[in-house]
Amino acid sequence: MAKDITNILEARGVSKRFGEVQALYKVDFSVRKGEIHGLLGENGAGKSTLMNILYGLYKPDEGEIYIEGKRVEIHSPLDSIRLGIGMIHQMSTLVPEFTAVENIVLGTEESGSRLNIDFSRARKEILELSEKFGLRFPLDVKVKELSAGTKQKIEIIRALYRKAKILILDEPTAYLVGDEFDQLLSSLKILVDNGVTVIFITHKIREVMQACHRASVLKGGRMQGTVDIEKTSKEELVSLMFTGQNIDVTDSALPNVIPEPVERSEKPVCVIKNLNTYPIVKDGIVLKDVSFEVYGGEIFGIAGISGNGQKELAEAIVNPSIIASGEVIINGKTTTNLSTIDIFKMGVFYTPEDRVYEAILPTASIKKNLLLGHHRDNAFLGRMRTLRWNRIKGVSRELIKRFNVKTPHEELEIRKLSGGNIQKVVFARALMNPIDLLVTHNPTAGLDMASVKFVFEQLLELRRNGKAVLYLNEDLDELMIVSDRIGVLHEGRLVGIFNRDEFDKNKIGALMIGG
Amino acid sequence: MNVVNELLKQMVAYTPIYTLSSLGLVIGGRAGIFNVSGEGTMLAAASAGYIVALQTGNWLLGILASAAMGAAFGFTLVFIHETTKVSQFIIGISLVILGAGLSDLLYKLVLGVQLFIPEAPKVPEVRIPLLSRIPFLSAFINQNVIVYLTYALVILVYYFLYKTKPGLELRAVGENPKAADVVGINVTLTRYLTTTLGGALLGIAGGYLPLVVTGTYTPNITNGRGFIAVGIAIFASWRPERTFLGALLFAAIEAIALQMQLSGTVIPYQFFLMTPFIGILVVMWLFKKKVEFPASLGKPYSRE
Repeated sequence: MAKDITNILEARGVSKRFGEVQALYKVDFSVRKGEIHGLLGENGAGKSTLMNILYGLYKPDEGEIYIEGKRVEIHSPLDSIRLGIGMIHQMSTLVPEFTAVENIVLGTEESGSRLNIDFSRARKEILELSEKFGLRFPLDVKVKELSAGTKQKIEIIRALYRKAKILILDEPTAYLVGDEFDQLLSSLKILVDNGVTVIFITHKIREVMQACHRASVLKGGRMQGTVDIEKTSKEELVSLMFTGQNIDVTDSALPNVIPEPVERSEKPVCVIKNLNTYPIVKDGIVLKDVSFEVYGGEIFGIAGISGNGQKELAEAIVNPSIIASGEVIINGKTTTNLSTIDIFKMGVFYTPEDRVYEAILPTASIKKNLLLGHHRDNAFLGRMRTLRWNRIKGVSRELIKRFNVKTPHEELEIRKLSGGNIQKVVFARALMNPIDLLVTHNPTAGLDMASVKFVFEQLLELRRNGKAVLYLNEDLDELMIVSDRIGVLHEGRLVGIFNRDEFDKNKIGALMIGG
Repeated sequence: MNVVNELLKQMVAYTPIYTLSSLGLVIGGRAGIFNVSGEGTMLAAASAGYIVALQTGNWLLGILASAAMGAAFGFTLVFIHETTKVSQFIIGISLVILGAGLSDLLYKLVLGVQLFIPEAPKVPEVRIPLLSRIPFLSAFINQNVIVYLTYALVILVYYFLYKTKPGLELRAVGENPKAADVVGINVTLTRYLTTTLGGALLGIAGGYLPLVVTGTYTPNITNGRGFIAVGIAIFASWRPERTFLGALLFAAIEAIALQMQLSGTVIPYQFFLMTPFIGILVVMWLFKKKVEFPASLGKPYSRE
C-alpha cells in the first residue's frame, strides 16, 4: 500500500484544560494524505477534545495546527469547513425536524442565491455523491425517523457536499447495528480511493486493526505514539492504551472474566409472576405475562433488542405503580402497593440505562450524587435530622478510593467525569450498603474495556456474596460472559430462558428477533 | 347585518395587537429565544410611541418610536442572555416589571400630570374603493394602514421561514443549535437579530394601542395582552400563519366583550375584561396535546 507520505494535517503541542481536568497535554498528531488514520484511546483520553479543536468547536489553550504544511487558525466550524475538514460527530448533529436534503444544504453557499435554495440542483448533486460513494438514504423523510446508521450516511454526504478533504469520524460505530459496520468500512475505502483522508476515532482495537492504515494512541490526554497497523499487533496497541494495567486480550473487545462456581440460594430473591405492565411512554410497549425467578448467587441476564420491554421490566421492579396485573415478590414479600422508597429499603437498587439523564444529577458534585437516595439513612443524619456533611464527605472519599473513581476530589461536578468514572460513582452509590438485588440496565454502554471489566467484577462480587443480579443488556456477547441464565425478551414477552450450558448465540439471537 | 359588520370591523381592528406581538415572539422563538417580556415591552413601547406622536404630531414617528423601544427591549433580553447565559425566563419577567415602571415614568417625565389627556394623532384609515362595499369583506379592507402591514407581515414571515435559505437556517438554530453551529451558521448572531426584530414587532403592537385603539396613553394600557401573545405563540406551535388565526380569535373575544359592555347588562364590566384570560386557559386546554415547540426553545447554547 504505497501512500503519499506528506502530512495533510498536523497538530503540534496542543493543550486544553476544562476547569480542573487537563483534557490534552502537549499533543502532537499528524495525518498523511489519503490514509485512514485511527485515533485510539479509552473514554476520557482526550480523543473527542482533540477533534473538536481541529473542527473549531473548542479553542486550544496552546499549540499550532498545520494543514498541507501551512499554519492555520481555526476559530469556528466555518473556518474548518473552508479548510476542507468535515466532522461526523458521535451524536447526530442533524436537525431532526428537517429532511436529509434540507440538512445537507443547510448553511452552504453554493446552491442557489443568497435567499433561495436551488433544491433541484442540490438533489442532483446529493444523488451523484450518494451513488459515487455507495451511501444511499431517503432524501425527503424527516431525519428523526431514520436509523442511526442512515443518519451517519447523511452526515458523511453533508461533509462531502461541502468538498471535505479530511473526514473526522468520532466513534462512528457506537450506534451501528448488524452489517452497518461493514458498509461503513467499504464506503471509507471508496472515500480513500478518491483522495479523501479519514480520521477514525474509536476505543475499540479490533476496529482500528480492521479499518486503519496507521493509528495514534492517546492516554490521559497525552499522545502515546503512532503505529503502522501492518507492523503492529493487538498487544502493542493494548500496552499503549493501558500501560500499567493488566488486561487480557483474548477477545480484544471484551475483558476475559470467567465466573467461578457459586452455590445459588434455595429460595429466589426475586419472583416475577405473570407480570403485565402499563406503558411507561405514550403508546409504548408493555410487558405481557412475564414470569421468572432470580436466585441469590445468580446473575440473571435479560437479552433482547432495545425497546422490547427491558426498561419496563426494570422499572416495574422498583416502581410497582406501572404494574397492571401480576406481581413482583422480593424476599417473599409482594411489592404491590409499595412505593419506591419501600423497595429501596428492602435492599433493591437500580442503575438505569441512561447514565446521564436518569442515573445522576449532572451538575451536582460527586459527593451529592453518592448521597442521593441514601440521604434518608440515619448514618448521615444528625440530631435535628439535618445532613452531617462532614461524615458524608468522609464516606465519599472512602467510596472514591474503594471504587477507584478518577477525580481530583469529591466536590467536582459529576458531568465533568468520563463515562466510565460516572458509572463507577453510580455503582458506588448502589453498593455502598449491602443489597439483596441489583437491577442494572446496560451498565456497560459506551464504556471502554477497563470500565467494562470493572462493571463485570462488581456483578460477580455480588454473585459471590450470594446476592441476586438482574442484568439487562442489549449486547449478547457481554451477557454470555457473566450470566448464569439468560432470559430473552421479545415484544414484551419472555420468549425463552437458557441455562449457562445451553448458551448459543444463534439460538438466542433468533429468539431476540422473534424467530 | 350592520351589527355583525360593526363587530367584524372591531375584531379586525384589534387583530394587529395580537398578530404583531405573537409574530414577534415566533420570530425569536424559532431561533430558540423564548421572550416572555411581551407585556413590559408593549407597555414601554406604547408610552414611547404616544409621547413621540404627540410631540411631533406625526403618527408614523410614533410607531417608529414604539418599534425602536421594542427592539431595545428585545436586544436587552438577548444581550443579557447570550452574555451571562442566565435563564431567558428570568430576564423576560424582569423586563416585564421594568417595562411597567418605565412606561409610566417616561409619560410623567415628558408630559407631567395632566388634567385632560391629549389625543395623539391617529393612524389613518385607507379605504380600498369598490371592494370596501362588499359586506363582511369590507370589515377586513376598510382599515388603518397597520392592519394592512399586519397582513403583509404574516405572509412575509411565513414565506421567509419556510421558503428561503436564511429561514431554513433560522429554524435550524431553534431546533438544534449544535447542528447549525457545525455547518457554520452563526447561532449567536441569528439569535440577536431575530430577538431584536421580534422585539420591534412587539413594540409596534404596543404603540398600536394608544395610536389606534384608545387615542391616549393610560397606565397599564396593555392589560395583559403581552402575556396573551405568549399563549397564542404557544398554541400556534410557533407557526406564523396560525398566530394570525389565534389573533383573530382573541380579537373576536375582545370585540364581543366590548359590545356586551356597551349593551348595558347587569354583569360588571370587569368580567368582560377578564374574558380573554379565560379564553387563553380554554384554548390551552383544548390544544394541550397538539402544540409543538422548537426543540431548543428557551435553552442557552454554548460549545463547551
